[in-house]
Amino acid sequence: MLTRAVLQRFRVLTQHTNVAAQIGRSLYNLELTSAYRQLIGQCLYSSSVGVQYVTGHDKNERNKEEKENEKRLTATERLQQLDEQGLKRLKVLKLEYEVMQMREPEAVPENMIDEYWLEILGKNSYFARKRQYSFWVRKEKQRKSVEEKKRKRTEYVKERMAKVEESERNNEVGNRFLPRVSEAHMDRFYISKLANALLHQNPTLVLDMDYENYMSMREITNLHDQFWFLYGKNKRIQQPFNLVACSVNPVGEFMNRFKKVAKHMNFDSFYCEMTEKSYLDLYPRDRLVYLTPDSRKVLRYFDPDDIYIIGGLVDISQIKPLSFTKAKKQGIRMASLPLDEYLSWQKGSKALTLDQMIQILGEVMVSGDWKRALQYVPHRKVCNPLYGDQNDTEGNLSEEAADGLYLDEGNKAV
Amino acid sequence: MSFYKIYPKILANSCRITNATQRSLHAYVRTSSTKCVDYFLIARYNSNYSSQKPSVPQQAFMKPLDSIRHLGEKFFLTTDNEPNSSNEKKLIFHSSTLKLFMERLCSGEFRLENIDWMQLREDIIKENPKLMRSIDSVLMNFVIASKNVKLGVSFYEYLKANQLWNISVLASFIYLCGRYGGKEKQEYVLEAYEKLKEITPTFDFKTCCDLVTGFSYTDMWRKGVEFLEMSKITSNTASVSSYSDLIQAAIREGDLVFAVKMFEDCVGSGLVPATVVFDCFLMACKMGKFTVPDLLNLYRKYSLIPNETSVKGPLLEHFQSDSNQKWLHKFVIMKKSGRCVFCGSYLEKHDISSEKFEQLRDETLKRMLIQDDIYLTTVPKEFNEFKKFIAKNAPFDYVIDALNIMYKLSTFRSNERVLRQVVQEFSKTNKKVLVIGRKHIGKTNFVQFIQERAHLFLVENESKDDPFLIYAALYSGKSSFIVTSDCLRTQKFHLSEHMQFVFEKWQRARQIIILKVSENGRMDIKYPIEYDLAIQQDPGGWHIPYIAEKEDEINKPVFELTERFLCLRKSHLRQFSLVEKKLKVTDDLQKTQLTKT
Repeated sequence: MLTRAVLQRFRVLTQHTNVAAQIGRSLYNLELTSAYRQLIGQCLYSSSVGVQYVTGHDKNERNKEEKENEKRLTATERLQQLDEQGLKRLKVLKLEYEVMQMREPEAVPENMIDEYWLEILGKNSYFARKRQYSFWVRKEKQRKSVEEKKRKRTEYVKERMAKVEESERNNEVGNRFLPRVSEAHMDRFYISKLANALLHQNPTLVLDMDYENYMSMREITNLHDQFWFLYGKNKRIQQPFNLVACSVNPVGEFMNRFKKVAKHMNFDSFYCEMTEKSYLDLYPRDRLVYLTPDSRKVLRYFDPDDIYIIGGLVDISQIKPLSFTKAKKQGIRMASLPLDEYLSWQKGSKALTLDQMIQILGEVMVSGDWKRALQYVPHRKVCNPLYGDQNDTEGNLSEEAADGLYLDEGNKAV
Repeated sequence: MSFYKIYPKILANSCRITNATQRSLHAYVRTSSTKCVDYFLIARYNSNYSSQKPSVPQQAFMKPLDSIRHLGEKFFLTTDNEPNSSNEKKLIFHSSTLKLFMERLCSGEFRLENIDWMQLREDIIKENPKLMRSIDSVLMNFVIASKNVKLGVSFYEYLKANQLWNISVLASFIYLCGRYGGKEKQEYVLEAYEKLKEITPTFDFKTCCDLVTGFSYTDMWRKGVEFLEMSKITSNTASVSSYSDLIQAAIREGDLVFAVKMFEDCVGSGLVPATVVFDCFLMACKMGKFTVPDLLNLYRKYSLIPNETSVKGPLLEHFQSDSNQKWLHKFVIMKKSGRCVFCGSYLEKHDISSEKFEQLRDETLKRMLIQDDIYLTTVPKEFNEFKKFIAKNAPFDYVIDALNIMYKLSTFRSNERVLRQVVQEFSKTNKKVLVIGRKHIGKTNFVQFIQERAHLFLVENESKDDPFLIYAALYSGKSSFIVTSDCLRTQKFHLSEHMQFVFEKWQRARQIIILKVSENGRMDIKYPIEYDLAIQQDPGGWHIPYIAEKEDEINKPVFELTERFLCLRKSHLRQFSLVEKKLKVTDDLQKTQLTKT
């Protein structure tokens, strides 16, 4: 009988075929306990070069550091510190909010927080404020729809469980021909891979977070989201990297968001180093290579002895070659991906996101094949995608490529 | 290419185009000129809206490029059967009764007053109770869209009776009465304003805008100044519409000193007043309160150029109906030398004051070359070399952008040939030429050829060459030319707003554009204008430029606004009546008789 539970397991297995092939009964013995992981981490972090600031390995350390560092002002405190002019402006802006609520029914969100008022204080134009309000309205709607979906789902489940007889309810879990693989189990497997990467000194990937001054709030939130995508994809590639985030500003806005998420996390199994120092202090200059879209030199071979740097920069509003100038100033080698040699570009920026970069580099490290690696560039930017699905790990060619139209040596569009 | 000839055949035979042809067309369009764009669009339109859709699912490369898309939108908007138009504003009606109400309003049924407002409101709230708070202002905005003042008044009185007013309703009612009601509805405006005052003493941006337009048709129109300053609390500048309405109010009431002052404030804060203002000033000239020369000099002072409709309409009428003087006119396309085809006289020469020129030069150094970080454009070593090089070989007559000429005007093989021709052409007349390129240009023979005829400075492969060009040309003085086909827009936006305008002015007079270089040695060059693009006065008349709505030339650069002028000449033919002629003759005869005797 194909019930939903069976289908779920079947779907999970087909998605992660590598995992399923490797997980067997023997692997139940290789579950790493939290204590063991902690031991590994402490041994390695003590031996690495002068790491000062690490998030949340010990809860006591975390509290101390929060007190020592400058206190980051909350929004309410900042609003109380305004001058007369600022207060007058705030008053008028609150009036404007009410008027806009009266004018159009869905122009303005229902609940306004102090942080929202701070953002709107900083905008000097009526139309910019309007756009910001409409963005928040859309977000509210999204949250509401998500909650409604959850509510409906729980009700549906309750109804279904009420119909099923009691005798069958206990057997829902067992007596199926496929083994049960929970997502927590897979998570534990991935985390063990990360620990092995540290142990066996896999290549490192440095994230340069020095660009907070050049980014707006929207861009910093995008960076934050990309960071977690990067972390998740690093777990799932065949040979994960050692992630190091350099020149992080502990009082900045990226860390503010990070700490909100970190409250709910278990940092015993978090394998990414966050430091205030820059990569120049941690590693010798000969081994560094900065990956920028503006450099003229092209990366042909992935050298595992080199340390690759990616700039944590999201440039939606201003497009300046910031990572390029930084590397020039500091005298580091530069390289860019060979996009023009294997792909015909249609539209979009050649600066790729963090998770796309790590997938490409991970593939190149393992196989050395750029065609397989550059499948992770999104299809909307490319004229002739060589591979069909982005999630397809086996590497099936798309229909056009299989016909042989685009398999010339140069691989350029006809 | 053969596609240009084959395409009409494809269209004639079938509406549907296969994916392979579409792909190849796409590649062709990218590499060729804009002439085959129309065919491409027609093909896409036919393939999208034909009954049989292609079997292969549409992928990313089927979409047109951005540069073509804006043309495509113009094309698509002309058709009637348009499923998805991104330019239409999506009006969301939160209830169906509202939608019905809107349709009836726009159809013209409610010429007169009175609807049962109570029932309307109840119906709408039943359907959608969320509209409780905002229903009044929504209804008032619909009434504004239908331009029906009496309906609005009846709605206002209903609200007054039930004490349901709020800020937004009152503000939009004031706007209605002012804009479409005129002086008759003054009392309502003042009444509503006093109710507004009771709620709050200070208003926000949008209500201030509405108040200015509402008050501009009343006796208390001078209060608009207060509201303008109130709107500056929450924004950098007041809105353009409120400035233009105030100016028009001042003109109507006859206080032209105030109107000019408001005009100057408007332009000073970076806004261009509406085209209606020009027509309004002309109305005042008809009444005799203002003179046309004063108007035109005002516009000349701030270097504003009027519109085609206002020049071909009221301005011409004014000159044709002038009783003191007869004017002859012609609409002329001006040549670059500044010589008017109609009257033969030359326009004023282009000139930038030395102060502004120095300011421009300093800003290019600070903001274009040395931005916050000099490594963004160059390396300090290279910059120092450039400074020394320029100080040595100072004033250049022509500064040539080698990369632009090599890579935009020719194919891969004829790179060097093109540059050689250009350099030879400009160095013929024993003038100083500077060529700026990058280090990957070519071999030593080629570099030697250029160095025999001109000065050469090669920039690193990784640094930008445009700021160097511009700075070298500005350093050499006002009379040096720059030779590119690049609009230099990205470099322009590094400067401050005031200097952007001066930069454009400099470009108009000092940028030489090379259109084509052929193998014979013949070159199509577009030389810049020598005259000052502004309203100009002669002892014999006027030359007035105007911006036309349709611009035909394709190869026209962006900074060149117009070439079209209106030439107005005073005619010396005076129309005497017969009586006056006789009198004059008799007077002369009497004089001669007296002298004789």
